[in-house]
Amino acid sequence: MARVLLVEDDVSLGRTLLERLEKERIDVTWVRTVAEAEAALAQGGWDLAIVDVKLPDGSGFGLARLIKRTSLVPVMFMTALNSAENRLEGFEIGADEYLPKPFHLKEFMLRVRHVLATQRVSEVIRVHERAIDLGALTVVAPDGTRTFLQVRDGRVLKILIGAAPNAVDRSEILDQVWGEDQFPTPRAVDNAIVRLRQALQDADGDLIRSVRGIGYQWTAPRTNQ
Amino acid sequence: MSLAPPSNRLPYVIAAVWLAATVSLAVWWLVVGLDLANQVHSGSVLLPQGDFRRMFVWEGATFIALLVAGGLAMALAIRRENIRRRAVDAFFMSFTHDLKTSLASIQLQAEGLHEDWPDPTARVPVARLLEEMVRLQIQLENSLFVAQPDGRLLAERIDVAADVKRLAADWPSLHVQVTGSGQAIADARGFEVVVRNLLQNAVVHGGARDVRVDVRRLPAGSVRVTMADDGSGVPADVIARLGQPFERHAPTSGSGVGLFVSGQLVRRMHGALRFLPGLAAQRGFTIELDLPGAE
Repeated sequence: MARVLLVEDDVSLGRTLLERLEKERIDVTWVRTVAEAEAALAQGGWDLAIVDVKLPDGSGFGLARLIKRTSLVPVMFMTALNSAENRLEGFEIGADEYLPKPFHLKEFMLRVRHVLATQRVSEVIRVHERAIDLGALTVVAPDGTRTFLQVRDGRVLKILIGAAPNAVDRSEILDQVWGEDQFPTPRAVDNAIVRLRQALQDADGDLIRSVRGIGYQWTAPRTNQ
Repeated sequence: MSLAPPSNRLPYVIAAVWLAATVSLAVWWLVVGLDLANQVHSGSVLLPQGDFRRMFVWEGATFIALLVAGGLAMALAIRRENIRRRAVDAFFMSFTHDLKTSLASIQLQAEGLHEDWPDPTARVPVARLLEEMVRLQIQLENSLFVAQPDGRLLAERIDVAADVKRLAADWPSLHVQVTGSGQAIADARGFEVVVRNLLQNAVVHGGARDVRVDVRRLPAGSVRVTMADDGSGVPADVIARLGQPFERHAPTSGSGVGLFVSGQLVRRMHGALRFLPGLAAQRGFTIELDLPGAE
């Protein structure tokens, strides 16, 4: 069952969304403030954070920045602040969805399901006897050794696994992970792949294959836990 | 007994006195300067040096003081205007947030009721409530645009046909047939406001039941959306005036803001909005909306 963190300070709207999400068999935790959200996020294991922007003790944008800096949890903004500046800020933070209020129930559910289907991270992927936990950003070797991934490396790995069996272009990885406003060289992607291969003990490139002229490809068959 | 608003005539009086004094001094100096130049040129300076110097010191000091006072007043006015604008922005942000959050809550609860109610006849009033909600949202968006007409717009890639189909779902009683496709560069929110206004007008003021929307890319690269309804139409002499501020084609036909806002938004998105007679004789109304095409 997918776990969703709902951050909404309006009691009526929060309760309505909680009920509708639970009706769709989604495990929802509803909090009303940034502080409560930060405490909930520290527990880990979230598949999606639905965040209102204007909260009593701070901005949802700040909360989303924290989420993006420390985890791979997708963020969906749900806000009445729909000006060009607000939308731009939301997308610059890396929002997976930006839903302006008021919205239709069907549209809300559609977008939640879409993010959960395409961006879910809490599942543990077992490959070559190693467990890759993108939610916790760890790789656990058969002997129990735990290697922690950097957030950016985790993002690269998530993109490769999500696109498998297709190869992913370096520039696409750069755009998605570093953003179009930053200008790192393709070397940044290569360095991330080197670190990932070390973490996965994949020196021969069996799991992450280099595709000449394109980029990288996740080749391993995956078993979800 | 009525409370009169505080008089704001004093700043105007001060500004008029400042302007009169500054201009008078400047003109006086121009005259004196020209006269002096003539006297120097002819070698016949008539003013004694002491009077001449005292006059320049006093008048110069007064002139500089007036200029400094004017500059300071202007800086103060700009600062006050900035504070006022920030306060208005903060008010609109807060007002919009509260209103839209409440609207979202009502809408979701109404949609929940509409979905869950087993008796189809009991759903009818809820469906009406939802249509009124849409009307209220459009009025709110229009009012916000009129109140803040210079709000920034984004240049986003939009799938025109898909967006029209999605927005048409707000009017379940209206049959909207969308043909063709095209991607345009426009502000997504602005485009939504335009399409919702046009569909709302077709339903509420034209009484339309069918709307045909054709989306196609023109050879010049722009995307044309042709929206033809089967409503009561608009007289030819009124069509030319549509889109002007608060223009209404009949005393009962809304506030006239919708088409004005739509026209302004389309213009700012570097597009064009044209109103034409209906395709069928004596009936209907056609709108052509051109937007820059996406590569």
